[in-house]
Amino acid sequence: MSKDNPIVYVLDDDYRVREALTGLLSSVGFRVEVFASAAEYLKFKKPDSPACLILDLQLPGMSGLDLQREIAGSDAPAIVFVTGHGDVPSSVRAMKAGAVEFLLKPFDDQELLRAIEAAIAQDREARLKRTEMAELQRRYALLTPREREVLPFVVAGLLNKQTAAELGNSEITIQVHRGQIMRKMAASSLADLVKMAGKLGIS
Amino acid sequence: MSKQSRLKHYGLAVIVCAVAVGLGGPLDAPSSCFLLAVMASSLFGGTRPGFLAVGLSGIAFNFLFLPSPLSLSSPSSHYLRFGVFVVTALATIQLVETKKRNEESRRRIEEDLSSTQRRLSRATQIATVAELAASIAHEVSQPLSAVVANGRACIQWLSAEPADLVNAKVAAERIIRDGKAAGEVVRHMRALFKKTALERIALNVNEVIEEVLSLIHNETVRKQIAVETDLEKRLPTTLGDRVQLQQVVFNLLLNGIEAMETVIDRPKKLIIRSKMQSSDAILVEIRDYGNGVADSNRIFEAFYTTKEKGMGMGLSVCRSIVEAHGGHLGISPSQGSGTTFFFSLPLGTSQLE
Repeated sequence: MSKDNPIVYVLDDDYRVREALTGLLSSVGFRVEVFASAAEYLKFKKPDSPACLILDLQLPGMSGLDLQREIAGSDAPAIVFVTGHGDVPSSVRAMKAGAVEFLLKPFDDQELLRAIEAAIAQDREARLKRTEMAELQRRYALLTPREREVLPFVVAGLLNKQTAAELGNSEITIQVHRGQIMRKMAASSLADLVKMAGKLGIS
Repeated sequence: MSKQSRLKHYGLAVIVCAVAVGLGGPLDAPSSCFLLAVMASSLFGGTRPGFLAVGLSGIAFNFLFLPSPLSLSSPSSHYLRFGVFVVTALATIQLVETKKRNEESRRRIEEDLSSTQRRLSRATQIATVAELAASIAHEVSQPLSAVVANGRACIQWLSAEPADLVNAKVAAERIIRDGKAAGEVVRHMRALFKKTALERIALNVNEVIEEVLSLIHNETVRKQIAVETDLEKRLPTTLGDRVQLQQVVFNLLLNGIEAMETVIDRPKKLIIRSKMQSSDAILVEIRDYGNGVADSNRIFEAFYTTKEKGMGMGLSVCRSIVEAHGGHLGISPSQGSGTTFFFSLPLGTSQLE
């Protein structure tokens, strides 16, 4: 198993399925946390590691699809749906909302393990992106309002002289701002800065 | 309407008019008597006998009850009296006719309504069966999922270095527990099907067949399938669950229709026959001219299907219904192409569970 110690959340209202999946997943080396309802899952304080959620479609209270919608957009783990009633509309909705896999019970163990691996890989990548993004945003927050005004001109490839004319500053002031931006954003080159600005949605 | 009964209706009109002639004088109320005669003729005989009665009454009225038969010299009051009588008589016929027509249409509406209700209840039943199947599938798939996962876990624990016997044993015990749970679901399901077979009323199998035929009439017309029936008229009643037996006939007929789906080189035909198998059992045969059955032993097994979209439940459900009625469902060799299914139903109550 990978060194970042991935965790599998199992959300199923049938204790037999929870028990069996705990057994199966821990036998192949995953950390497992099981929940009987969406509320229990939402309450749980999740550790900072790659994860995947095995989600039953039919749950008492909030359904699997409802929970998927509820946690979408946040740092929710990748979801593998399992269901005893395979109806096409729900599976389409689940996949459209970004589920990794939609498995019918009784599921094939190998298929489930493959789906979990895929989901964890996807989550690992998403987490990496999120960390990178958070770091960029942290650096961007260090810039002064004036430096944030200058940044678009710099990444657009304008010379200091041109930027100065645009903003009504002296060329030397712009040069100082530019130096500060490169330092605060920890950019090794202009190309690097342009890439970062692209990720932050600045052009 | 036969010629004889038509004659009877006209005869009726003549007789009531004669009675009116006889009574009109002594009672001194000829027009009322003739109106009654016209009413009775059109009510019991129909419109034409009604008109006959008007004619006869008119003639009798003219010759027997007017002070003198109408002629060019008759006073206008006589003409008026005669005219009023004829118009009233015709209006009476019209009223009786309208009343009859209303009754007829009401009867037809009621018939339509009850047949729609029958179809609806059938549709509901089919939907219920589908729901039931879905819920059974769910009930069985939960423990089965657990069995598979526990089985894999057990292997994993056993193949670890060193083998984790404690966890392997836990997993194996769960497999047994969940396997039993799945078995329990199956037992419940059997009990459920048995329980629904309890309603038994005296019924005529021919009626059951005809009800189902009316239900699939559109389907057979649309698919250009000729339906032939050869039903034993003096079939004794048998005890059974009407809806379940309808299901059996329905299923067998649908199978036949589906079997002929791809037939193009010969006429599509379904033959339904009912007869006495012996002195104490009825036999129903359903023959199609489809492509026949490859494996006539396996087709009654649950979940065995030759159809792309079939569940393989139809024939096995049919067989369990027929057997719950103490009968037997089977397939008999056909002459030429196609398949003949038959089922028997005992007449006595002794074999019913």
